[in-house]
Amino acid sequence: MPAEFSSLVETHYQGLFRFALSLAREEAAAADLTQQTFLKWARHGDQLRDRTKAKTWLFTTLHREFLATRRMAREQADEEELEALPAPLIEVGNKIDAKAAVAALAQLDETYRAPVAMFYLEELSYAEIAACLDIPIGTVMSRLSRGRERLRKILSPASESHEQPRP
Amino acid sequence: MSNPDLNPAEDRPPLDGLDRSIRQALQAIEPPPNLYGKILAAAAEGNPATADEPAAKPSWLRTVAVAGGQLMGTALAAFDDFRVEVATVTAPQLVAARLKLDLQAHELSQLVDWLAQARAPHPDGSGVRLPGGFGPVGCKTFEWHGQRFSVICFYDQGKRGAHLFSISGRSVRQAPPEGKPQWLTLGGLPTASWSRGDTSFVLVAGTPGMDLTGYF
Repeated sequence: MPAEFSSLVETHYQGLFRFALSLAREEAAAADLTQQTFLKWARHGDQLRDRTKAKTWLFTTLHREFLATRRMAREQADEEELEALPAPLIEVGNKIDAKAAVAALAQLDETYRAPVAMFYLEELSYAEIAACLDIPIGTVMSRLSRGRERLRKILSPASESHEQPRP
Repeated sequence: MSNPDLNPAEDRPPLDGLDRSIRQALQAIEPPPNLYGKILAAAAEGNPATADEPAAKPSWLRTVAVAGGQLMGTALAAFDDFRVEVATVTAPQLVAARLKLDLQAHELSQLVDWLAQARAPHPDGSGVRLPGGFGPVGCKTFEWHGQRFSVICFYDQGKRGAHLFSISGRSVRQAPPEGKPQWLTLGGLPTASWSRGDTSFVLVAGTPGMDLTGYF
């Protein structure tokens, strides 16, 4: 295994898995998406001349893989299905626990979920998200604004109740 | 523009406390423990370009070569695959006490003698250097792709473990060179690999970020 490939996997597999989990909302599917993405890199990554764009390439590919997988499965998840999704096993250690954050992210419309996940998980800029999702920067800005607003509304009651002083 | 999120002068929206909490929460998600190893293994299996060996032969020649090698019993797995296997599968199982040691003992010489009698690959007792506080607790033998290998487990008072895997260098392709160890983090765990004589070794830390340099 070339060191470059191992190093690339080591650097990005956690971030890609988290992004995949935010899209697929199921741990096994997220792991599969992450694996498929690196498999694609192993086969076609040498075509990318600018190696500094490897991260963008990986996130773009994972997003496309997700869309292709979903199209094939013809999944039309409605609100009831979203509520029935199994919660991933996640460690808790923040004001908002990861389980609640993922569940809230899962409630967002898919249009908003990908840019919001990229913003929070990878701290990407508008331009980087636009490049990954292949959409204009203005679209990223408006989707991120609306998506964040919705996510905050979903999570705010929970976080406020966490901060209430104990009697 | 009233909405700061839509200010094109900024390259990303400003963060407040709630944003930071959401970010912290999402970034705390841990991937499945073996995902890293699975990715490397799948890539190596699915694409010769990720293997060290150049894919110079036409595919039918390669197939014939592999088939011939298997018939002669010479088709060997790559050492790197062995390293991934022990670091991402075997060592975590040892740490979680899911695998029972064949022999529990606190004398290294006793463990080495037992492995020698079992005709399993093992380190030369004099070649093992232990950092302060660490001592052996036991050993176990395994089989991987038809080849035997062994492990000796070391722990310190703080219950931090390190696991020394030994395999015959003739049982694998592309065994590591003698001399200085080659370092690589696999599945979040630091590993070192090297060869000494006919035996190749992988030392795997039981916890992320553990310093293994004291063993060399």
